[in-house]
Amino acid sequence: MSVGILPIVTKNVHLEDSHTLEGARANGVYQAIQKILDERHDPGEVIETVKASGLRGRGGAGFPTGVKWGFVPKDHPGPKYLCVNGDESEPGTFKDRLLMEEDPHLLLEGILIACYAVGIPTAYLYVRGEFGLAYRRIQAAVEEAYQAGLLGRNILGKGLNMEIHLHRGAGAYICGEETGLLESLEGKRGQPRPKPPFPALQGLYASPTVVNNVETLCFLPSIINNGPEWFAGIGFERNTGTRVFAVSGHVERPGCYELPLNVTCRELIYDHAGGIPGGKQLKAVIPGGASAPMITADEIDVQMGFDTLAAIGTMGGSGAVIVMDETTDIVRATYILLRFFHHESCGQCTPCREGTGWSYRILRRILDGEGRQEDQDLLLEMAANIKGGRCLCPLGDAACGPLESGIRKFRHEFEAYIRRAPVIAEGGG
Amino acid sequence: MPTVTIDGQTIDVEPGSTIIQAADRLGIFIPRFCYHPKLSVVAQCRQCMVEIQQPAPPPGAAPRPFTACSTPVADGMVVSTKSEVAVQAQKAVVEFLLLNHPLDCPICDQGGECPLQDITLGFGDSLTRNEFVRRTYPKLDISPFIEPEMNRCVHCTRCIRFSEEIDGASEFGFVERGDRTMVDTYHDVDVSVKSTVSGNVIDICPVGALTNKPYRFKARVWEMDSVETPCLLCPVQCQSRVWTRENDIKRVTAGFNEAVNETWICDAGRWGMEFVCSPNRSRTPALGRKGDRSGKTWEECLNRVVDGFRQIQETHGAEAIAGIGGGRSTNEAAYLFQKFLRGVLGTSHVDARTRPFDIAGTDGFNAVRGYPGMSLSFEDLETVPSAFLLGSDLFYEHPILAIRLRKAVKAGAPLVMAHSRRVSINTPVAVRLMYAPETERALVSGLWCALGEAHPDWTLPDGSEGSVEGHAESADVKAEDLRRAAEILGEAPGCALLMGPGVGDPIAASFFARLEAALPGAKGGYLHTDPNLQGAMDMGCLPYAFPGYRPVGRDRELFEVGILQYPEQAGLDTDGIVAGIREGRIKGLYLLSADPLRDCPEPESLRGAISRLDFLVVQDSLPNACAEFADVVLPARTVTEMEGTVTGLGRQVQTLGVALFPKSAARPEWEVILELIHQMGAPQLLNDLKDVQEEISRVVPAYAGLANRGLGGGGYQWEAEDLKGGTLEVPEPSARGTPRGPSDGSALRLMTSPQLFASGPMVAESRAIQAAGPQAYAELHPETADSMGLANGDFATLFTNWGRVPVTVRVDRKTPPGLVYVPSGVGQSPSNALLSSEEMVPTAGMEPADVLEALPG
Repeated sequence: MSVGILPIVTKNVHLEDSHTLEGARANGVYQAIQKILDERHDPGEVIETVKASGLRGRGGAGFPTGVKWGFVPKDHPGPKYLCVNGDESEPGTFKDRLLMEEDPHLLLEGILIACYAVGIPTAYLYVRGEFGLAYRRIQAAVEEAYQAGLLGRNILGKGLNMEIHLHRGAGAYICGEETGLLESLEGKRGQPRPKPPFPALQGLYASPTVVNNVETLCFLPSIINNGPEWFAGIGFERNTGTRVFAVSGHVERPGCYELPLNVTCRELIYDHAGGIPGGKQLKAVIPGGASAPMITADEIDVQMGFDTLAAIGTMGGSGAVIVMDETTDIVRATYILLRFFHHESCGQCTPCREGTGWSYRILRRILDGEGRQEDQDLLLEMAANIKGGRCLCPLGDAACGPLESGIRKFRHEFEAYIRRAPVIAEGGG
Repeated sequence: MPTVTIDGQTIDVEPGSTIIQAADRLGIFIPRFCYHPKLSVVAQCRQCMVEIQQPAPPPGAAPRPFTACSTPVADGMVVSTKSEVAVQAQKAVVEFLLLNHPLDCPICDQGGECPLQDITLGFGDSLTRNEFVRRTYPKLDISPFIEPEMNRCVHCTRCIRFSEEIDGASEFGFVERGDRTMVDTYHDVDVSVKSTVSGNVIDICPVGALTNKPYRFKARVWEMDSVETPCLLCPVQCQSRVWTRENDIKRVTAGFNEAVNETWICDAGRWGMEFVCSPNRSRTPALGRKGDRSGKTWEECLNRVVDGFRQIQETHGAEAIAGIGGGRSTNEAAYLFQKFLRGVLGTSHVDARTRPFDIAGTDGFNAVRGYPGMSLSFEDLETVPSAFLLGSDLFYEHPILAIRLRKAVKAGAPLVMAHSRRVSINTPVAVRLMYAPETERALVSGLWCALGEAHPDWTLPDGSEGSVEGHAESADVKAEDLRRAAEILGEAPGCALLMGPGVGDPIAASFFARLEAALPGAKGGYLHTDPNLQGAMDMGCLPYAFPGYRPVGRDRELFEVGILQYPEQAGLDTDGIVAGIREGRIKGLYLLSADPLRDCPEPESLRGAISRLDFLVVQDSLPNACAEFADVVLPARTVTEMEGTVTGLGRQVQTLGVALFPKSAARPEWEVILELIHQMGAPQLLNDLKDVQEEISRVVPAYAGLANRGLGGGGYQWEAEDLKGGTLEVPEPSARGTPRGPSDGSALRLMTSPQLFASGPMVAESRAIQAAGPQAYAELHPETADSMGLANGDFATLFTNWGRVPVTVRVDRKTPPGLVYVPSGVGQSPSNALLSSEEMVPTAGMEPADVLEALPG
């Protein structure tokens, strides 16, 4: 590939000492913030640089990062916060874990740049509770950084002040939703808040708050070092740069692959992840984490950009690519996904609380051979009543991704179950 | 102002308004469950979804619904609540809500007044598509007043938000996730919902999930009649809705009066109103003392009253007659009461205040500003910049005011909380002054001295001089805390100064009242306890004030018609009248819904003195301990049985609603007193209640227009400027004994104060409140209880040199070590028996008892 220095955020993850300050320094981490402080970049200029790079959030929604920062009022008299979303819980997603475990200093540098740009003195890093190693590595990195004068007061002797607080999640998927994360950080039950007000105006402790994903922040140092044009030259228009795809399921080499956003799903599966084991046929791909609608084998020439995936009715989401071969029982797969969303629904809003439970039970009934002819239409109608702004947060819509796509694209498999003749005798999962 | 069009109707709204607020103003009903105008917006139930047609959705995007409760109106917005998108969204939410909702409407108390029923009919489908077993939750037991049926819950979180945002106790919360999510309480305590305003969750629960336990299965809503009336359980006088069937009160719910109680009432009001239907009420007018009493006609009884008082007038002079009462009566009855005593009988001794602390507190403020009660409105409490509470357990004494004040404190107003017990209004406290019992005088003196340090030009009240350190030591608080408190009081103009009935020392009360005049912009007052004491005092039931707080003797020509002659000099207050009874100077006594044996110190010896009175009239709606010595007993009607007006602590004049016919021969007090006035020979100028109100309008400027106001829409607040009163000759506060310093640890120190839920004759007649737990309790710190070998729930006898009362032990850290706290005026065992008219608060002893002993008498 002819796109210059690749990979970007994962270039050091294979190195022995990449998680230590010494290793990180050797790998060039903290050069970008040094440069910003040495050259006395104007914070607004940093925001413009990030805007010009076209960087979009790697957490799920793909919102332009620089634009998001721009929503924070500049002259706000009270505190402002950065909340780093490391509560990576979307099934199939494990790219932030890799970054937090192997290159925590890169993340810290990204945090410093973001805070410098938006004028934020305090950052909270919310780490998924189950990520023990990631948490310990970040904890160690934060300690090292404080000792080295990279965090705290008068950073690098340039008068910048920044405090970081770590927080470990307690096992709720919903705390990865940005306002659920804020509630959880405030010590409350992790329940999303209605928007408006948006976090940029009233976030943590009712103060202006930026919530950014781990991977997103990790891109910032190289954007500063290499310039926005360089970053914008990777990928394609409005879908610039690379992202870390977490490939799992029926592939020879599951794992994290950092590739430009114009890579196709087919290239990702066959050229990078080694194709499907045993020469089996591909049946379906979930291209962006459990919430992303499935695509079928004949849709995989799609580029893995946010907009290209959206154009075919799915989404880039969290960058998790779950590959399912011909032996996969889609009914069971849909059921398992809905079981997850039913289990993780926070329970506060009606369509999600009741709808995920009802659809999960209907899917269970279908799996048990007790399905009704009308069940598929009932499920589709229910999905229409859950998604599209009808819930308080995106979890309801997320549940509808697999539900609708599973039924629409693999209706015959559901019908077979309802006729008590499953297509796949022994389903996976 | 943004303009919005909803379903074709256009309206201008305040910037920041939401769609649902605009629709409510237009009278367009959008279905809702979680939205409540007094609670935060959470957009959780999703029932209120509507379609925004303008601004149009971005090109290519599917039309989507928005929640009307959380979407702010933008200028030019066009909204449809009836478009296909809106209707389908609303219908779907009804279906989701009903998936797991039991179909038990026929046995559900909410049936007939259930938003879920109504919204299902109006916006949902008639059939369910759910074939799965419905969700069930474990049965909860959370409180003696609230019966949870959580299977019916629609997870609107109104109860959770009420508990967190309004009441502050946060006793409700969600547990579990997804469709296992459940509203629950803390189970690690016996009663998990203890709030004094807990019953409001029943009112705001949109389904039958939180129901009224005492009312359970008693009536269906469509079989009942209801009337709104101010509650007469305490002087807040919340607008309440009284629900009756077949002339019986079935339940009470909150009424609405933005100026008084918004839409909340306390649990005492909700379940205490039952006293109206108590079988213990006196039913027929009667003559003769106990043992020789017989029911007579009203005519015979009234003749006897006239004869009895005439006889005393003739033999001993008018000044041998006294009247106590009015604080539980209507304004009209109180007005006529003082008119009868002053104008007709010619005595100057009339007082509505029966409790020592009410006398101390009201005297203090009357001396400073010429009227009692609060100088700020309840609504003002929400926005005060700082607050000082002295001797007030607001959450247990005036819970609805605690709700108001909490809003200010939540918004950042620093709260100085001075009390001998660890009291709370469920907010942070900026400075806590836990002074030694009965040392309020030192405490307030210390504050004055601390203020004097900052304002050397101020004149300190006589007797408050000294050093901050010296006073702090006497009160057993830190001097630095006193200085911090003084700083808060002096900082932003407009501090709320509120004194509660925990202060019994008249000198301390007068020092406190003078703070209001000294501190710039400070407002507040003494929070008295009798329900219509404000109204009675407004009407002149004060020994030193004619109606409208005119000094006694002034404007007599206004009142003197025909034979009526008003006194020129101030008379005795209740303390003085009681002393006069003990000394035999007072020979004739008229008690209007007042009971000195329940409220005054040393009731045992007072009993004898009252029994020796030449003539005693007891006019009351409730059991009265003095009635046994009465020559005439006149049964009175009470709230919900008669018309009239009342006035609360916030100077809000409201009109009573009539919900019931009396079940006996009881007559309205005003009517009976008016008849007495006429029988004594006064010109018959007044014929009905309207005439009485017209006279009040004429002679009390603050009540001008009373008769014609109608008082709909929640009444009105009279303004201090309208008083045209004057400097009142309030007697100099005299010390009742010398306050002692901090306890030396050898004996228990006694503290009493009234509690809405334990005190007073009304709650004593409420079975629901009596069943909720022992009312006559003595609260001890765990250490104190341990050292005495007493445990929570034990029976014991509490004694002082003056008397003994049976109590149930309550162990709570709220009361500090070495102190025993007893609510005063409790129905079956009034703690005034422990008190002395000489000493301020006596030391007490306590001994365990096998059973709760019965009181003599």
